[in-house]
Amino acid sequence: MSMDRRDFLRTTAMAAATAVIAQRLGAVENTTAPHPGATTTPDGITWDKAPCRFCGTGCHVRVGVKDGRVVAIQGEQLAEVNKGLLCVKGYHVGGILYGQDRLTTPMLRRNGVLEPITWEEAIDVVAQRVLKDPKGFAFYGSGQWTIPEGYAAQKFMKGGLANNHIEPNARLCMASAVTGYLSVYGVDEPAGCYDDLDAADVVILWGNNPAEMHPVLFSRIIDRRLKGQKVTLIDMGTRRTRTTEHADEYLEFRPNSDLAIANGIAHLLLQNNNWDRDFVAKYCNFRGDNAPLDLLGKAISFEDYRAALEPYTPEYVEKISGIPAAKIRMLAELFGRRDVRITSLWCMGMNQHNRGTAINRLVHSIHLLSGHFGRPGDAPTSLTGQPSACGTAREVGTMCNFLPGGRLVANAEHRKDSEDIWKVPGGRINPKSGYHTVQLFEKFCTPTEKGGDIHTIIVQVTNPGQSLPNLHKLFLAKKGLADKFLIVSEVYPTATTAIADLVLPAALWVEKNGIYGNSERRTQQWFKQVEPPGQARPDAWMTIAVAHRLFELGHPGMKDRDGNFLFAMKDAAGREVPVWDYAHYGDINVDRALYDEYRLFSFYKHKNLAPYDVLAQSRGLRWPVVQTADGAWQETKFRFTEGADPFVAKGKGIQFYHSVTKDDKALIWFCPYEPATEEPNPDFPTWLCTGRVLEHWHTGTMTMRVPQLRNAMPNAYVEMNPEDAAAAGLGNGDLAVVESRRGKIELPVWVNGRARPPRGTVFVPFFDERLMINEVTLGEPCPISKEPDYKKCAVKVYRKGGEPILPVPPSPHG
Amino acid sequence: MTPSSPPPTSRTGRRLAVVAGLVALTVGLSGFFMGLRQTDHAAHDTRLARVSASRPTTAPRRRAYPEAPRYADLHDGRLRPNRDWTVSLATLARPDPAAQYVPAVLTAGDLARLRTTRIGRRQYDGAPPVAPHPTDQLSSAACLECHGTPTVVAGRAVPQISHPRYTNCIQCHVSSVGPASWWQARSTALSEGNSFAGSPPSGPGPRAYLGAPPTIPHTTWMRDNCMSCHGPGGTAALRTSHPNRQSCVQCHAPNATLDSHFASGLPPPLPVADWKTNAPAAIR
Amino acid sequence: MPPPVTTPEPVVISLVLRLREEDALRTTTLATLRAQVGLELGAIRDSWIPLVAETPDPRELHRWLESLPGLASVDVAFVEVVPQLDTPRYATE
Repeated sequence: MSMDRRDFLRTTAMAAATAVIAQRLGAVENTTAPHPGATTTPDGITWDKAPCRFCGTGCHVRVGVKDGRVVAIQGEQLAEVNKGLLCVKGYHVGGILYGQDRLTTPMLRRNGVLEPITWEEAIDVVAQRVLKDPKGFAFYGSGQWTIPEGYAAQKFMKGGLANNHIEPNARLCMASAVTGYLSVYGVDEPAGCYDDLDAADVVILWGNNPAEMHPVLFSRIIDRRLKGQKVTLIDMGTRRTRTTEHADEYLEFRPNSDLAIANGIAHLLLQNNNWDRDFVAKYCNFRGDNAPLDLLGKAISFEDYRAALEPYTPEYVEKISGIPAAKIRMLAELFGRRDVRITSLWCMGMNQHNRGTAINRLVHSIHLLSGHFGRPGDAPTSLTGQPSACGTAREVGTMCNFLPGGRLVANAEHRKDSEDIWKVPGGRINPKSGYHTVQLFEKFCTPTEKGGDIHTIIVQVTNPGQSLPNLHKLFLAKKGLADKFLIVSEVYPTATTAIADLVLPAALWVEKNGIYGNSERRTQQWFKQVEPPGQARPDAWMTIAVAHRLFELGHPGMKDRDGNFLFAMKDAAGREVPVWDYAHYGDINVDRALYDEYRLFSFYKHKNLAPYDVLAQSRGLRWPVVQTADGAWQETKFRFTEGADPFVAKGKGIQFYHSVTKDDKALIWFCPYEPATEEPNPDFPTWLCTGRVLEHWHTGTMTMRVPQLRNAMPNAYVEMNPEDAAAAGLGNGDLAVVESRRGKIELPVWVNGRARPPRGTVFVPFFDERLMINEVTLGEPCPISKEPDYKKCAVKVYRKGGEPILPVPPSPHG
Repeated sequence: MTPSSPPPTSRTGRRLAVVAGLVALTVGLSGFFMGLRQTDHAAHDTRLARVSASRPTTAPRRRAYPEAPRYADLHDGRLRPNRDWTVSLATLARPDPAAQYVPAVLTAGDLARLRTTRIGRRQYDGAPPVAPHPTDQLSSAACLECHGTPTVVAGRAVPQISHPRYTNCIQCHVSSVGPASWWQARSTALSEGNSFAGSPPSGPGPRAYLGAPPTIPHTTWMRDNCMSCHGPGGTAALRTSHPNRQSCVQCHAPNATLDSHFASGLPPPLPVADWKTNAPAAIR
Repeated sequence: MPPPVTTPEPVVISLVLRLREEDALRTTTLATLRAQVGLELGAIRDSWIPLVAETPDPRELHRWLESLPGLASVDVAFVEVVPQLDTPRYATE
């Protein structure tokens, strides 16, 4: 007995000493390893980090992989964004890879039927379509593109084909935020970050529903109350939502009248004399619109500004918006106080708006006018809906008029910069802006002989067949046009692949390396963790392969100024690696090669990105990331503020160093209130608003294939006010027809459900591909940002077989 | 009394007798009925004490229509809410504290049943469970009424919240019976399957030696309240043998690797820079 | 009552030794350690050596190791008394 115990002790003793040594050596090895490496737990699961695949919050998760499959997800406790918490979509994100109808082979449509073909054939088909007429070829990408994917497409189109018809689906969600930031600060993206949510005393929501759409950020705000902190939540919206249940104030306003409300607040700030004179004198100029409307407007005097705001008395604003004058006064008083910190949050309510640029400018302006800017908690912050609308679409500039790093195709200096970094011959980049999204699809759906000069669109990582507005005109009209060719890179069959001519199977999320950039300027990287199914391949490879095929076929655009292939890549030893040959795609980290080149673009507008290896070691870094004197990498939480932003000169306090007026000042804008493009009338008496729900992300192609999410929200519906429903003879579950001038669909009615629309309005979510509300929506874009309005149009709602008997809601315009 | 009238002894007497008789009859009858009532009450009281949360003592007769109760029966407690009547929050039962000390007699089937239920509600071990009942679509205000403290609803143990309280329950916990199941408007079954197979619940935790307290075989993130599964509200298969001991992690060690507290592996996050003092957050 | 007779109980200890960088010293130190009876050396990684010994006087051993010129440090990782269960502690029970 004692002998056994003795042996046991000796073994334990040796193990203890060995463990101490392992730990000491481990600590030393770790700091030099570029890839932190996944860790395996006793149950045989290997865990590695990744950002969530879904919304713009950018939560970090740990992905558990066993036997080559994702088997579990954890919220990343060490991530600053979400601190271990996720939402229901994030917890179930592992399931999106495993729907049974995953696309695994390239397919070409012959005689109306999609037939499997090889990748060689598929790449050749794409190349031939480009050669048919390179000017009529277009690339439609996405805010779900990883940064390297978007960058590859951008370089291919603008630096290779000299073709500016490249657009992201983010045109449909963030373009107004972009033009808002550009016209106020001279440079895109929020100055604050999520830390503002921890410091704000008042959070004002301008027409968004974060309890469902950015749940982790919303929790971050309201859970402060559980810790005894006081946060005042003011929900300004056009209908009561889950968010309203947690709000201290709910201010219901008539669609489009947010313009009047913002002006009303500014009016009172001037009238009450409690605007921040000091802040404005030091840091702001005034601006007004040109005619016709453009991005940068013209300088106006303070007197002009005050005079323009004259009509926006609280009584007038009440008349327009329906919010009581006392509440407008309450808002203005809040802004007039310097002892509270106010964060304004918005998303699609302000961006998918027929005057989206204007309302964005106005909300920024209220914050500037009242000095609620530049301190933690004082911030006007636009939230994004997609995981990399900021990181890819906005920063890489994959839009018809941008170049990477905040540059413009119209600017000769910017073109030269880009040509130098890309090493393409001078003059290669086309100075003329391409078609924006709505235009692009319009042209695509117009016959060639009638001026439809876009013959081929390649779509990557998005579903325009469901997400474009006014689908009949902008998408479905393609069906009859024989010479138009739609190429779609997708993971599942969707509304877009339904009329595609060539379908390419794509790798999804952790089936490839990737980098995303979230709403708070945080760039986050992940490594591939599982193999894609069948022959699915990463989108970046597809773009490079097409580029190389064109290079083989002699297209001059695929050569740089030294005659080398545009996407030539070398390994660590300096040998060229043929990454267009998929067998060699994994020989080097193509992501890193693309990203490190793209990074060079980021310094011009002080959006400095960290090097790839530094990103790989962190859970995201907020740019500008600069290297300090001792070699460490430092991120920036609050931009333009001295001390937090390394580019603000000492003693400046706040410095808008990309100021439109080139004097370090931001612009306070006046824009007038205007009624919506399509207001209700006796024929179409009801407002239609569209949007999302918690359980499904965007068009639901991923989430509808996860049983837990689908069972929680299985189909679309039309949310009605109970009195309106009663008047129309409709009850819960009855089929109603929602009809506009553009189309109609039938939907089951939901009354007293998840949200409470006021009389005269209805709401329909857009996640259901069997009930596509975008056949009905309007899509009139903001004239400056070209972003369509999905939130307001006029419809009639009636019982199937019946006629509308709903009254027209009262209008302030008589 | 007048001297002129003759003494009406016999007539008065008879009238008196009749009145007395009537009075006696009335008293008797009322007494009888009151007695009936009292007997009813007494019986009602003793019956209530036994009935409490148990089922009616007599099985209801099966008919096509519900039997109308007699007036006398209205107070006897046999009338129960029908199947769709909402359980009153005020009458939610709490589990019997004494019952948790009764050692659970488990069969292999109990554990298997537990695993199946757990797996059915979670996409993988550690995922937020879906609610097997419809949830309020608008607000989380009512969730903690049943899930905040150990509760028994309609004879079933209600799982208690296992993690610190967050305000927005329905952000993570959705219902497995979504809105359409109420309307039967569309089929809720997936037309295309999903082959995701989540990691299953772990088995019993390893022990250093026979009789040692088992180590915790799962992560402790979001499982701060051990008693939510292992306490009186949990299923018998998981119940602790010693609920009187409140400081669980004094003896039951968590697993650092499972809890992602890796000694080597992913480095810790950046220390947050204090922007006011300009001290940088550094990665080396 | 007769006084208890205490026999010194053997102690199992494990130590973590670190060798100095100089090559000549390393070789001789390792040879010395290996030659010493009763020392069990584990897998050597870099300059680290795990060592297990069973001795009634661990302090003596520790001092001797520290006196070796080729060792940069000696750290204790584990100490445990081996219970002598089949030998009575007292001369009389």
